[in-house]
Amino acid sequence: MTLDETAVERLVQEARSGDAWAFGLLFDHYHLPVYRYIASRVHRPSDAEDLTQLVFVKALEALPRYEARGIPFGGWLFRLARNTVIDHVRTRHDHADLESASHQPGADAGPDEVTVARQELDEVAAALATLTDEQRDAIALRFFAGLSAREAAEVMGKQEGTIRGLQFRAIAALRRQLRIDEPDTERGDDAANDGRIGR
Amino acid sequence: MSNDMIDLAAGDVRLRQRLEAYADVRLTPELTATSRMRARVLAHAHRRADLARANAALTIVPDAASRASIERGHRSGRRAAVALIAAAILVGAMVGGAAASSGPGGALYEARLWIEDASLPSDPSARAVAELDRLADRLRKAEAAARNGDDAAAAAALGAYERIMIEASKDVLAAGDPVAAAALETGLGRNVEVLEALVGHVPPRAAAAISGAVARAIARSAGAIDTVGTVDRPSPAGGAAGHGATGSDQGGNGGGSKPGDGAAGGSGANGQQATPKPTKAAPERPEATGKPAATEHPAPTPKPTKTPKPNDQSPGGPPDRQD
Repeated sequence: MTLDETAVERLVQEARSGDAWAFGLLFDHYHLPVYRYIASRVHRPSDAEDLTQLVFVKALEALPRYEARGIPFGGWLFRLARNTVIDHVRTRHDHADLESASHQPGADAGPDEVTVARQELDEVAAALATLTDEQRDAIALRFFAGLSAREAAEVMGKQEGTIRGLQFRAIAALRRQLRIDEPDTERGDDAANDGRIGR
Repeated sequence: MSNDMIDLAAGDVRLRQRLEAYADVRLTPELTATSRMRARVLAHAHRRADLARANAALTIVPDAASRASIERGHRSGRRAAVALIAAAILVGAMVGGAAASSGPGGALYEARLWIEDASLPSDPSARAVAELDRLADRLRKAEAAARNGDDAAAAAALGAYERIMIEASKDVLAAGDPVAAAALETGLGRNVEVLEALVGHVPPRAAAAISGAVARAIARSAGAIDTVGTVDRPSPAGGAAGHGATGSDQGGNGGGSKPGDGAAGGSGANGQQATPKPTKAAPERPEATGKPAATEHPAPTPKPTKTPKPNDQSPGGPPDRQD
């Protein structure tokens, strides 16, 4: 489901005036990136489900107080999501539970493929676990939630350049951990540093 | 993961692919999880909207002139009215609070169930989720009562569980909403597991009574799951056929329930309300018309041909018989 910013703001206004259907459309638009961001931080799918739901309920409650004020609804929602995750991690002392986070790869894959796929996914999870909290946050917001560098900066309350730096160091660390060679193009690192992530 | 999410360094396709695969497999909610989240969030949204509408309906804003006259002329009367309203609100809050906190088997437990019924959202999927929350609450109550060996409270909680489940199934069937049906079906399936686990935790002295109630709740849950499962059928005729079948199942269970506990009310009601549904299955009658095919058996009527004498196969047989 794709919505431009104008459509989102219109839905926000309708939801503020008590239109549950409009809020349902907002949920449809944002639930996957929000879930992905949360799931990448809490690891346990059941917690990710509960927290995603909580974020949208909090958003609904806070909607009457929401004013664009230069921050688009998506950024505001992800800020709620980030605070919710921080509270959860702080109170539950949540740790990565790779076993419970693992899903079955494609059902039609043979046993060898399943093993290989799971191993590769575990490697990615382990590589992400080596990042600092801020690097992981930046990667989760940029890659898994699909925010732009500017949006991620707003959510994390940092400068855009800081986010790019975090992202650059995170990517370098991931490459090292996953034994992926440096890209042979000369401007590869510059491109990553410039935040050439879409959106 | 959508293509616009990642454009890492130009040559770094492998890292991108691995992150994409990771996000697709481990960071994507299952469809049932998405349905659950959506239904719960929308339940909340509908509840808020209902409350806002109710508040708006209760707000009376008099114009300036009448406000002035009211303030001048009815100040003392208003004080009395305010005192009366405040007292009524206080009493209502106390009764409502007592009902809301009333435990299974308590004097106000029925009132509590009624209040819960009245505050359910109207949206089918939101309603199904709200009903699941109520069912989970009853299971917790039943579990706590069973652990304490309080078989009366456990039976009351399980009776309420059955009644809510039947109401929820009926609502889902009436709405024909596949999302609500999927949510209820999943939730009831999970509840069956909880009920089965509950049997193992019943203290020996209360084992017989509680185990019986739990077994009945499990059987009823299975029936309800079958019933709700028919909603997915696209054609209304199929759904009607399903109602009829499960309605009779539930009626059978209802007949077996004890009359003393809360389950009896629910089961009786169910038995009565499920029976009309088979009448919806009337369109299936054409299948019954197949039976007349049996009337084709009269084909053996040629038997009389045995009567002709051997070697007399000519059409002149009958005249011979006449002779």
